[in-house]
Amino acid sequence: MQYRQAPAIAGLPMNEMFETAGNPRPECARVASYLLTMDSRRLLELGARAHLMFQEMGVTFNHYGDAEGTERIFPFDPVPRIIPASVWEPIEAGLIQRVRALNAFLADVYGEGVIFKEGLIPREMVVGSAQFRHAAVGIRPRDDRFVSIAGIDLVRGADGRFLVLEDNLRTPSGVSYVLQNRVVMRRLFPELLRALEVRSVEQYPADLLACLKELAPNPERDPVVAILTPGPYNSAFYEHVFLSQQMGVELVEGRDLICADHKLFMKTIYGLRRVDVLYRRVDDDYLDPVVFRPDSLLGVAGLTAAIRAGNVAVANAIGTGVADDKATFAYTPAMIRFYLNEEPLLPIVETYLLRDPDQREVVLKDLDRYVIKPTGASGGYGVIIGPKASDAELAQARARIMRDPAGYIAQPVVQLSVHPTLMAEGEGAPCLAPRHVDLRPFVLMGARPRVLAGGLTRVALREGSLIVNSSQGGGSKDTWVVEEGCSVA
Amino acid sequence: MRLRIRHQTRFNYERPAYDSHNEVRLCPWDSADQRRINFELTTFPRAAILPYTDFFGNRCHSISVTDRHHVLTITAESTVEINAAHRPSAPNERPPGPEVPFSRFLSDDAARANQFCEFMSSSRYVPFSERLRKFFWNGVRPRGNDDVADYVMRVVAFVHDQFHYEPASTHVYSSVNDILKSGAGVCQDFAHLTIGLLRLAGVPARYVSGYLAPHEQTQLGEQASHAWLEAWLPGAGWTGYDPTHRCRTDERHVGMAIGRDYGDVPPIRGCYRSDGRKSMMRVSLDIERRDEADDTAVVGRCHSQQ
Repeated sequence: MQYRQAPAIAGLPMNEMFETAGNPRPECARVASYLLTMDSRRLLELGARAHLMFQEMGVTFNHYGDAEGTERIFPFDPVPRIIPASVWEPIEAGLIQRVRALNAFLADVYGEGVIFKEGLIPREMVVGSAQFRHAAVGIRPRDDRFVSIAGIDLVRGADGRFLVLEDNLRTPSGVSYVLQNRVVMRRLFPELLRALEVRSVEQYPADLLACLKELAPNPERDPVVAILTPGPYNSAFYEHVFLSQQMGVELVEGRDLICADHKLFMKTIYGLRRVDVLYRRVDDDYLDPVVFRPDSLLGVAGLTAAIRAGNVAVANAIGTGVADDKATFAYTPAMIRFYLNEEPLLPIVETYLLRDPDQREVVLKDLDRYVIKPTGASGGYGVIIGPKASDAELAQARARIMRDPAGYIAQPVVQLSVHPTLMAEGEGAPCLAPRHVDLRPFVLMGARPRVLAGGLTRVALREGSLIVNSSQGGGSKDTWVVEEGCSVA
Repeated sequence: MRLRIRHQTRFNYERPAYDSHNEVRLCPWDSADQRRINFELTTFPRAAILPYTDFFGNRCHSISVTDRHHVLTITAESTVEINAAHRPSAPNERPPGPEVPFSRFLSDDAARANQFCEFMSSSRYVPFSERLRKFFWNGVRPRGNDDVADYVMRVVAFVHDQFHYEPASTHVYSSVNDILKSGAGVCQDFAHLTIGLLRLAGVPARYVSGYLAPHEQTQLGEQASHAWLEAWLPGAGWTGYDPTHRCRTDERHVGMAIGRDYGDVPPIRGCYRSDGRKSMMRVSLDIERRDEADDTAVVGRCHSQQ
């Protein structure tokens, strides 16, 4: 197996496996030698087997804006991404700290608003955000737990530090791929996984269920949990099915539910069955036609009143999106200091608020050096990458920013780290080539917060591409958090 | 002055309705200028009723009826005492507070924007459209030395004088653009337009849904709900104005709910299921002046009847 790597030059992205060409980092030595000594056709064959397995298991995602069929296999790279435990553990602590602060922020802005009185964040920006839900004011989730499940996107800069790129606190998806990638990798590389003592991910569904049950409003009875899906056309429908199977709970759509006497019930062949906790994978806007979009058929009429009455809990709570708004992001280090009185353990990618005239001026001067993101959107939609954008695209972005400055933020282009990835297409024999990766770890904020070891590594399969979103042509890798002692060959 | 208000909404369904959920804002507020002595909300058929307070501080109720029904009536009965001392004695009396010229008022704009942002920006029924901006710039733009309170009264008078009050000329989903286009509207449109102009001038303004008591001591059937606005003035705080009647709100105005615009405060909003398409809504409203003595003080009671 051949590895194609450019010579190390300052300013180049960090290569997570090889310090220099042919010289693997100690924690990756074993995997690297295993891969490099493997016949390239053999690795290609393993990749093809993985694809077949995903097909058989039905691991798919739905692509929006595609007229042809909906279900697709999420491209998978058989080369695992290695993170040593000594690097991982501080990240874990940093993630928990971060989600605790974001949760405190939510309890505050939907409650007393102390942070506004302290003048730490403009009230105008938060209450004026498209993600602020007036209906969430006055609803206090149990233990003030607004966020139960978070997916925090991390990138690794040229210096090897992990930085937070964005938070996902609404309905973060991707965890099913982490679990299924591991199932496939166990079959492809059983001996390697055993030898390396890779931290397990298999307990996630049980942890998630326990975390959801803790939200139940009446602890006397064994809580009934259900997952609310928008249905088979949603991009993450596979994940909804998978999690319901793994947790052993019902998967329901809005039409399977009914609210009566301000309580939530699901319709079963045995009659109505009370639901205590709803893990909803439906956005706020579609959750309840009485309060939000009246034309929504995906939600349940009366759900908000049932939550308000304290008869059912939803995870995540209504209105969490205001804390993962991309403009709010700039204030997250301040939030950690304010609510927890701690220094942030994880740095964030520098963020310019274009609503601010001074910051806007700085960015507009060198627009082609920044990544421009709409504040309210997610999934990589509407993102402009300055260095890759055409003049026409930049001019368009500039006009859009001038029209609605508060609607955008800018971040410097981070040289995402790269990881060897199997490349089979094009001329010549298959080889490993560096491709950009990011990481989405998943945090469960139960009474004892837990972080799934590793998370979803997304890889931009096109050479040089920085966009890893599955909706924009990215793939995934299995992420291995390995104990140091056993990583050296 | 004590007022007794009975507001009944009756829905008739062609085929039975079920799984019906409504959010209602029918409870007059309780404050220094308006005391709520009694409030009762009843429904037929029996419903589960959940009272709560919304973002804007309005007293709301969630009403849900699960079983099939041909008719749904929601009846809100309230007794309110208006404190005349807190209301103006003349229709365009200047509210208390110092004279503040616009130039000085606008220098605190950033602080105000932070505190009252929801009442200073574009909203669903009060979009800052080209049409609205043009009307503002050509018609009622303030000058730097205008006193803010005087200016607000001037805008209220301007809207009243420039537009015709025409029942049924618009519908509940009309925005400021509709009244600007047609030159006519109802109280809701007058309120929205005035709010839009004040917001463009930098004065926080909010929508009020409520009732207007009749002038005489007689009982008038078939009255409608009313809408006006409140503007935030230095020294005086939130002050009510009724552009439909070209006046400040007086002892006949009973306030029920405040919001950015109508979208935040519809008296009844909800949905239901039914096999048939047609439903008919009828509202009857009775406002009666009462003597002080004949009401027992029960505050905020709410129950359902079978």
